[in-house]
Amino acid sequence: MGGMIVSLFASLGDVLKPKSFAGLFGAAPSVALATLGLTVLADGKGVCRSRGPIHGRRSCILLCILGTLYLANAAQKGQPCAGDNRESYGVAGSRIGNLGGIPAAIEK
Amino acid sequence: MNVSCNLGALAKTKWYEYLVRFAFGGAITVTAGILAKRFGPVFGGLFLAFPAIFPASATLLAKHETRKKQNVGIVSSSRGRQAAAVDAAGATLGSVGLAAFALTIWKLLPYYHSALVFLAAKAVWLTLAILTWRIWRKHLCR
Repeated sequence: MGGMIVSLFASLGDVLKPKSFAGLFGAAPSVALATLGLTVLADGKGVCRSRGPIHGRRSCILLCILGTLYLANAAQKGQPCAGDNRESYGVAGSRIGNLGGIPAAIEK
Repeated sequence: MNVSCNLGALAKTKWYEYLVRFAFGGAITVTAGILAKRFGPVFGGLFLAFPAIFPASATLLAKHETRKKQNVGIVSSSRGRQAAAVDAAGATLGSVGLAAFALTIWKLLPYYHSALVFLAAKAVWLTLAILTWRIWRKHLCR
């Protein structure tokens, strides 16, 4: 069930444009939906667990912000991205320091 | 910029990429369940906010964008990483909706039917995520 929901949201992210909008589905509550749904169906005790994502959200936001800054910074400095050797030494116009400043061409 | 839907993008994703997403999502769900059983529901709940979709879609997006550039003869390009950074910006905004989703379930599930609460929570998540994105686009993204 978790795999199906994750695949569904990921596919939604694939087909939507602009990419920043598609990214919203990267933080969709897929695992929460699957696990809480199964828990409620099984024994109806899911209410307690739903407190968790409120704390976990901070980690998720932090991870996404760090990811954004790292990738934008790597692109700006022309550093290759970890794990992708084919990418190399490009120069980009992304600014870091806020979440704005994304070149319009990337969004399309 | 208006939101649009391009179903043709689904064909660009290979079968094994779908398989990886499916297996990764399933593995995370099982792990969250096991942790909840072992260490209690509140600790297990932390993993319900695990970004299961984001890592898979960001890496695939970077790969597809790089491939697109290579197909037109540009070997060295940072576009893949830039596209992944934009995706991450969207996921950051979506996380606000995720918190509202959890809060809705936490507060309403003891009093109302579970199916109704899940529907309401999804509606809250989607509304807040889109609203945050629109505010970001209008006021912060220059």
